[in-house]
Amino acid sequence: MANSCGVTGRKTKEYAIFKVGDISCGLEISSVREINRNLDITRVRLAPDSVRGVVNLRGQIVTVTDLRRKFGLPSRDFDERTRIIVVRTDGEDIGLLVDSVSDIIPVSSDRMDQPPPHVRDAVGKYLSGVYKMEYRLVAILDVDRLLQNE
Amino acid sequence: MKPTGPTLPAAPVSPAPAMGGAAGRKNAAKEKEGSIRVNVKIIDQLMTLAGELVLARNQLLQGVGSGCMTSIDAISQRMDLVTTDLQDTIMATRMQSIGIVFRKFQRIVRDLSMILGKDVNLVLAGEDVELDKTIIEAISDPLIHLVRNALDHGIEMPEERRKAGKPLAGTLVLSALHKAGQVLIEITDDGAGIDTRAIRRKARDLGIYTPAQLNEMSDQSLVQLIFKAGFSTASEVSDLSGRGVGMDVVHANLSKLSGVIDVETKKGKGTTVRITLPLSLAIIPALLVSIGEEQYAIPQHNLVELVRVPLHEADKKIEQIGGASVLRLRGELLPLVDLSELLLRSTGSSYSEDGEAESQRDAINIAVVAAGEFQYGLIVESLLDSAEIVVKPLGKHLRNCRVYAGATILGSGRVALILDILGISQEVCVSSQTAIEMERRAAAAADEEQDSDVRTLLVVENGPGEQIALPLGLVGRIERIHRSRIKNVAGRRMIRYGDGNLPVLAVEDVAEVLPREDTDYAFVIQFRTRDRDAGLVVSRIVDIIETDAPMDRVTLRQRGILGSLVAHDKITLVVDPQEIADHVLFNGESAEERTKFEEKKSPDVERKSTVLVVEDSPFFLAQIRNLIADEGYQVLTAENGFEAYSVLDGRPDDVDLVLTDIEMPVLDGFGLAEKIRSDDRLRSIPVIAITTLMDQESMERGKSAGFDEYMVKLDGEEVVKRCRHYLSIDPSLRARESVADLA
Repeated sequence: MANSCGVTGRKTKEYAIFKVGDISCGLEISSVREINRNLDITRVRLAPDSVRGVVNLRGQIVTVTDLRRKFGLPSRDFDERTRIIVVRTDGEDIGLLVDSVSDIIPVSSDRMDQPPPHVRDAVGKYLSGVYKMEYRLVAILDVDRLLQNE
Repeated sequence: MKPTGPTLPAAPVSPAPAMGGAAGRKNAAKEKEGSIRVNVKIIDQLMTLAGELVLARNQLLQGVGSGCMTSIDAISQRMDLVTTDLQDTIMATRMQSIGIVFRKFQRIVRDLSMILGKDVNLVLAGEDVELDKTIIEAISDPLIHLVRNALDHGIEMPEERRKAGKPLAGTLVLSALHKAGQVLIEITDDGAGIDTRAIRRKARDLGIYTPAQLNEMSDQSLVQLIFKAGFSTASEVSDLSGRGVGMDVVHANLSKLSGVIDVETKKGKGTTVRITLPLSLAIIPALLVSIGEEQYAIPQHNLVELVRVPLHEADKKIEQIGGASVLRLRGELLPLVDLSELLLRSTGSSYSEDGEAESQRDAINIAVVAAGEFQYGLIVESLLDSAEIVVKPLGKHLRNCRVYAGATILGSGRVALILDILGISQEVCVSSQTAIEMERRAAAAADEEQDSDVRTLLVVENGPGEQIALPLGLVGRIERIHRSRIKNVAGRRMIRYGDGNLPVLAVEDVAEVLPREDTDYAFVIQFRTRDRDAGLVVSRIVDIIETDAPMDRVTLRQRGILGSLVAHDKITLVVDPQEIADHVLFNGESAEERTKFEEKKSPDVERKSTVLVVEDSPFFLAQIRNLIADEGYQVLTAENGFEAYSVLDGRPDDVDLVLTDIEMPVLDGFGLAEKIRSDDRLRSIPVIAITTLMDQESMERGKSAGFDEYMVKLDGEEVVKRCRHYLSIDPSLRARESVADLA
């Protein structure tokens, strides 16, 4: 948190940047508990479509949500870059299955834009903001909205 | 909806130090639980066990260092013992007696009965039964609800009780007892009971079921309806004598605790609510089963038995009725749920048409499970192992999946899901009601076949390699005894049995069959004959079969042998234990002869009542005839309605009661009853139907045809009881009664 304070009181937060399909997404690091590659997922039949299964996280049963399915993309097999991001919402740990985790970057709040109002696709529902990196846009996700029970 | 909430067994007591990390994340709910009082003895025991665990660990480290497998083997055994003890002891720290909850009711009952102006005695039993703390805490509210219900709506006002001839003070019994690793809590009142007719009406009004469905429901399944959410609004208070208010909440709360609730009620007599709870929620024994690569756990307390049906018998034992599979198991139809079909939702493929995976298996594994009083069979691919599993709750995203009760972590570290037996039955909508429906359809299907009477036979071996069978309905119990227990007394075989002696007969005493193989252990089949018990000794028990194979009554018919049929591809002699008993114990006189003899002996007794038994199946005819004759009545028989009517026509004054089957050739039971009722001379004779058709429709029809009563075939005792009842009524009174009926 070295550059947490700017001159004019602008706040800087750290974000974990990851990819789901072609989409670059970001999650505020404070909501992320851990990132792991424990992919021994037990499939849960009859579960909602977006739920990939459950894993054993040190004795705790954690539901794993596949963000690809959440975003309406076809799910795919795991590779060596597949990761589970464990986040905590509503007192419960939940794993997010993502294609790869690329970086953790500090973002100052003035470089964060409101989500464009016309984004209506599956991702749009979960956006809390858009961050402009030099050569791409990062969709900043709202964890609570993302994991709301549908 | 699956109930959720903080009362769910949150993190279980975790003895493992590895959980230290998790302890930091203790949630608020856990802190709220507060402190617990533990016996010092238990703490001491824990200390000792912890010491032993450390010791075992040190040994293990040494063993691993030296690489000596045998010592590691020994240590792992030791570790196993220590962890088991440790687990038990830690569980013991959480156990509390149910008296804590029960004693609260003394005050509640006193206060409530005062407010309601009723007089109620509270009886507590089994207060020292211990349960896990979480359960004790969660059971309190549902119990209060049930007790309040019993006081408010169950027990009547003193005035009404007096009119009903009951003691003025009502009695409410709260009891707890251990039963097969579970705790059974009963709340019994001696009040008015639940009016099932009102429930039926309500269910129809609410449109939950069609009238046809409701008609087929037994009272038992009707009462279960009060647990449905729709039955719980205030406006129904008066309709359902108030029961059902919030019962769905009670039900939901209890299912959260893996508890099962059942209600038994008798109108005017009272209601018993039965709650079965596991001792603890944290660690439970379970059976692991698998479907393909996936493993699932079935809680042991839901498990009744395991059945393996070899593929070549599958066609015979598993039937398809209206698209649903049922298993014939000891005379009852068990609805089957194919777990892989349910979970994989593969379309329409059933066990027999399933492709290659099926052909590799040589048998179908069925776990018979119970959700409350209701049982069904779960088809699984393979049965793995039983294990003690730690129950962990599932996350909120999965709470709507009611087929799972939670999850557990296997030895491999993988997660296995725990099946919710009640949830599955709801998911696939099997219930006792569908079972009845299936039963009815099965009966209808069976009717289409010729000589449809399915017999349930106990197949045994007596002489070496010689198979014999006897009707299971006659068998009281079977006991395996050592040969030395059979004593010869005055030329008769006897065994000590309870306080008395049981005469033991053998098939070869009467019939010409191979003598019994003299094995070290023999089986004694106890049956009842003419008000006394007798035993039939055989060398081994083979199987219980249901067969509709025709019985040959000619070729091998002899004394003691009814005939023969083919069972398990072998010629099997069907014995008549009554006949054997007649010859051995009563010196050859048959039941009918004896009746005559007794008649002569006691001339002061008025004319013996005569019963006409009408039944087309010789097998059942013989059974019923014997039953009735044993009671000392005269028996006339007829094979169909027409024959019966000619008997009656010939001697209209001689017959006092008619017992008739419904489905018969020429003239069926309905026709016979109508004929009797329309004949002035015969009108007052009571006619009882004995049948397998117990559905509402045929009962209605039977009533209009003029049957006095409808009874299930083979419930011998009950049939005899009712006969006795009808024959004890004065015939002249009876005549008046039926005249009144007609008016």
